[in-house]
Amino acid sequence: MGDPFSIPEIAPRATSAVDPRLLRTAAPKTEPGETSFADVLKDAVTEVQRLQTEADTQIRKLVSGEVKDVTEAMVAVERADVSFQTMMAIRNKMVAAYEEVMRMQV
Amino acid sequence: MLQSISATDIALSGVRAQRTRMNVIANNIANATTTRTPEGGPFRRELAVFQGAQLSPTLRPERFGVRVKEIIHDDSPFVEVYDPSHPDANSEGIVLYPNVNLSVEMINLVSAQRAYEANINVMLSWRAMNDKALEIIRQ
Repeated sequence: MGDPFSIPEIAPRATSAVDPRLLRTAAPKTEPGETSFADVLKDAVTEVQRLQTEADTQIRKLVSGEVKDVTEAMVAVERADVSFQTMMAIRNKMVAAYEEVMRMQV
Repeated sequence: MLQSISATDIALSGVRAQRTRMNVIANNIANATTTRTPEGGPFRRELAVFQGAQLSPTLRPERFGVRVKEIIHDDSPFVEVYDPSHPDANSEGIVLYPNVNLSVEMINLVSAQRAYEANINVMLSWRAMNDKALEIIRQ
């Protein structure tokens, strides 16, 4: 909840740390109407962040006694966890691919 | 993103419905000997009626969940017990007790519990499948 390393805390900083103009110039040219991979990833991070915040809210409500329903809170956490795991798996694969390219002999 | 979470949503709807059913059963058991209610007369046994329900318009129509449609009253006759000393006894000394059969309630209780567990197991299975799918791109 107050944890400075929780995703809702980090995610906005992570996205704001990157200059959006840089992202724009670095992004590959896409056809109009086509979304770039950077956009897709940004959307994914936003979604993960939203689910994490939702999980945080549910747990806070559960602990404070506002909500007496354990299942809803558990499912909210589960949702956040699954989305985070998925995002991390994609991210890891991407980084691995990038490193592979960087190791290429030229 | 993550449309496939719908399996969890469906299981969650089942969990919610079973929880409501559990509450109704708990209320029946708690009031198994209640002879006075605000509506007058003894407590009448309640039943949770389930209905298939589309959870969200984004889900495909065949992906249903469940919800409690309504809680109805069991109109079966009350149990008559001869007890003239009871304050709620009628002129013939008969006291009307709720139409709650504890054995039936206990069976329903176990049934609700098992159904609840089954829904949770669906969630766990879905989670396991998802984890397995992520292994494809894991090295």
